Amino acid sequence: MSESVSPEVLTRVLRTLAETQKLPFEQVTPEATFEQLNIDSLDGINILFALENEFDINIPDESARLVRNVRQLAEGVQKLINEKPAPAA
Amino acid sequence: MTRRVAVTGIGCVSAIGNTAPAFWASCLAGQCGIAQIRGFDMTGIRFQNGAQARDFDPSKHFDDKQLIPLDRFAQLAIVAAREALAQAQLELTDEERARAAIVTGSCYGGKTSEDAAFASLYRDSQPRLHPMTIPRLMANAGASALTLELGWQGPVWTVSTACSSANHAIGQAYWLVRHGLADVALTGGSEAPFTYGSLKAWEALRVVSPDTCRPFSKGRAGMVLGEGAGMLVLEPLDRARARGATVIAEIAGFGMGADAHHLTQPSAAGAARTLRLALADANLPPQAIGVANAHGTGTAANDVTESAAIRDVFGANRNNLLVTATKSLHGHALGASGALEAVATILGLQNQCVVPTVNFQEPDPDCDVPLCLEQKPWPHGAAVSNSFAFGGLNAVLVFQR
Repeated sequence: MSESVSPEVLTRVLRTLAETQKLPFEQVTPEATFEQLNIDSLDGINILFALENEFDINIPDESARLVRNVRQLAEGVQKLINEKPAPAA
Repeated sequence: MTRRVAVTGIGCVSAIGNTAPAFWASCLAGQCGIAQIRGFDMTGIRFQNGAQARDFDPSKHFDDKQLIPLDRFAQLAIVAAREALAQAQLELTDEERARAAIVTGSCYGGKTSEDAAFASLYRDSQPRLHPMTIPRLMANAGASALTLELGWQGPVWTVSTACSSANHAIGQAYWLVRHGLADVALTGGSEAPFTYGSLKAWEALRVVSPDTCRPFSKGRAGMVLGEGAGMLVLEPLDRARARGATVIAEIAGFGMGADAHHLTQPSAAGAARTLRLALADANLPPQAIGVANAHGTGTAANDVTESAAIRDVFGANRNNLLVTATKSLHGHALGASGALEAVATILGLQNQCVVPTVNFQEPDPDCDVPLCLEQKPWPHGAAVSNSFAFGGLNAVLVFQR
């Protein structure tokens, strides 16, 4: 199931990824694979950590393992944001 | 000078037994020591299970005064060492005691004490720390406490190479005795990694299984942390025979090397190279090996690369080999793991029996090794015991009867 990603979330994901990987922002596109961006397993956990802090979410290990490209990553983040309980009124 | 090296005493503390005989009985029965972690609040940690030495009671082994400078990891080392020494029944001359060696391994040292001290400082705003904080947290605390207890004055040090610490320690102690630099050696590893801070750090690395440890199995989901200690008494084979000691096993070789590949991803080539170095050191061909106690952590990456290394080194002969992964029983006790696996391997050789790898679900085509899933008779020959640490530091021991 692909989640429709808001432009704001997508931009923040791309920015977080670029900052964590020390890449120029323009190089990180939604269609890029982790392989193209030279992201290995260790980079991967650093990115997950940065995203958890950026969006105040917890990314489970099982779902993290299946992600292969930037778009899937953004969709996963959006899903977790949507599932977050609304703040108490 | 080159001498054959005998193991004349073994001891251990673990999640599956606080003596070597109790540990062995659990191994034979396939009794897994992995359970809900106790001792502090686990809310907010993604995994809940570990292999704690739950029944270890320090007050049975130390009086209150003795415990003041001893972190749990040092207590575990001392208790395992006492068991090994009681079995070996060494009677050392003054000259031998002056050259007697102690080489221990630990990944963390006194993490329990350090975590508690820093929590009191940062969180509870306590103005001062206990004066024993440094002596408790130093990684050589176990080795140093043993020199005080035994009066041994030879080469004594501690190795810290993450998950390979104990194998590196045992290998170096073996070389000391083999080459005449010490006449007896006490060696092994100990670890007490169950602190809130270190569990949070492991959680962040995303390699810990949410349920249990399933080495080489399809569906494996990571490692499970364990604690404990294993200790061996080493001496020249001729010396052991001359004094009528029981030779439990021999250490036949040791190899160590670095992957120089990646901080956390293991390398099959590095593991295979270290296995070959150990066999060359033992002067044994691959077909002389009947059993491999695998590093077998149950992580996605380790088990695939270790399988490739075993296929590479043992080739077609690997069908005459049995691979067992005892971390499925006692958990991954980090710097103590190699020592617990050495105890399992030595007792396997002595009893001519291979212990099962438990929690296995179904074969993974990427982990094509002849895995021992039930207690089996020892097939033939000698054994290797693998440790491949984060940071790419590998250490392989060879044991024979």
